[in-house]
Amino acid sequence: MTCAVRAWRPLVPSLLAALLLTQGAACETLPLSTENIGWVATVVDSTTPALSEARTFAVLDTIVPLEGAGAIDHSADKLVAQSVREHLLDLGWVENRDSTGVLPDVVVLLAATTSVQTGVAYGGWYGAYGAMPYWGGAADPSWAFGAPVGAVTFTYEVGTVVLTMIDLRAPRAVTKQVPVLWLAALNGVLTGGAVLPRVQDGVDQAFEQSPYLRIQ
Amino acid sequence: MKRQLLVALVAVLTGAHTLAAQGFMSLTTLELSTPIGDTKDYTSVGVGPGLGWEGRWTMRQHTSAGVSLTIGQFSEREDGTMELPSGAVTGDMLRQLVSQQILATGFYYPSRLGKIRFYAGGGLGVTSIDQDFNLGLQQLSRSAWHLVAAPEIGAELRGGDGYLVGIVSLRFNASNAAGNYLGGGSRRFQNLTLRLGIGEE
Repeated sequence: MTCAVRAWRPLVPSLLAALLLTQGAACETLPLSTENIGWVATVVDSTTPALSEARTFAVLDTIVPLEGAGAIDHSADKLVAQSVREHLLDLGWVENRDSTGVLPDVVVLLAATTSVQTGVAYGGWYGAYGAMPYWGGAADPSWAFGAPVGAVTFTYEVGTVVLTMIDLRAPRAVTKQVPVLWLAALNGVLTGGAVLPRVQDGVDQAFEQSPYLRIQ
Repeated sequence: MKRQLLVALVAVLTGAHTLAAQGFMSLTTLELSTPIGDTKDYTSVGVGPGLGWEGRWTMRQHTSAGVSLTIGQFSEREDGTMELPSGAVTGDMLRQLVSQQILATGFYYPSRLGKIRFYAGGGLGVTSIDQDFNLGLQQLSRSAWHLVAAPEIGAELRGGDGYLVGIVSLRFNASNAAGNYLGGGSRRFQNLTLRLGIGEE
C-alpha cells in the first residue's frame, strides 16, 4: 500500500458515513392507503369564556359544499346532523331551533371541502351558505372566519367534513370576523357524500377529544 | 440543511486530514439513543438510530480535542390522539424528531496509551432539531436551533498495530429550551446515546 493510500484510508469510512448521513436521514413518510386517509382535528377558542358560557345551540341539517363549486350527495346529511345534535344534548346543551325569535347562543354549521383549503378555519364560506345562518344580515362576503390565537394551521383536503360552531352572541361589524368557538375537521369521510358509518365515527371522535364542550 | 452539513463535514475532514500528521483519530460512529424529557414526551419510541463522525487530536499525553458530527432520528408511528395548541388531532400519525448536531469536544484520559483507555469529557455545540408530524396526507413541521452540552464517558479500544481504534461510550445530549414546537412553546430535547465507533489513528 502506498503512503498516499494509507494516509487517506482513515477517511474512507467517514466519507461513507457522510454519504449515509446526508442521504439516509430523510424523514419517513406514511404510505398512502385507504386505511390512513382519515383523521379528526379539533380547534377550540379557549382564550375567552364565550364557549363555557354558551348553553343553547342549533345545528344545520345540510352539509354545504364549500366554495359552492362541488355537488355532493345529501342522503346522509340528516344522520350526521342528528349525530352532532345528540352529542351536544348529551353534553348538557339545550337545543333552540328558533331562528327568528330568541337566537341560540351558537350555531353549528356542517360543511364539506370540495377543494384543498389551508388555515385554521376555511374561506369561501359566504359563497357556500349565501348568508350566515341564524346570524342576520350583518355578515357579507368581506367577513372572514376568525381563528383562535395560536391554533395550528391545517390543510383541509378534499373530502373533509367540517363542523364549525359559531358564536351568535359575539359583537359584530367591528372586526368583520365571524367568531369560531370550536371547529372539527373529519378528514377522509366524504366521497360523493358522507360515508357512513365513517363520518359518524369521526363525529364521535371529535366530541370525545373535546371534553371542554360539556356544560358545567 | 443536508448540503450545509455535507459541506461542513467535507471541510472538517479536509482540515482534519491536513492536521493529521500525528495523533489524529478519525472515527465513524453508530449512535443508539433513548429519548429523555421533552424528547420522550413527543415520541416514546425506545431507541432512535443515528450516525456520526468524530475527529480527535491528541493535545497532550492525557487530553484530546476534536469535533463531532451526528445525525439522529426518533420515529414513531401511532394511531392515537395528540394535543395541540387550542385543539387536538386523532388518526394514524407519524411523529419524528431529526437532530443534526455539531460539537467541539474535549476528553481527559486518566491512563496512558494502552489496549483499553478510559476517558471522560464531552462536547459543546449546536443542534438543529426538525420536528415532523404526519397525519394522513398532511405534515406539520417545526424546527429550531439549540445550544447543546453533551457530557460523555467511554473507552478507547485499540487493536492490531495500535492504529485500529474502537470506542464505546455513553453521551448525554442536553439542549437548551428553544423553538416553538407543536403543542406550543419551547422544548428542551434530551437523549442518552450509546456510541459505538470504529476508526484509525
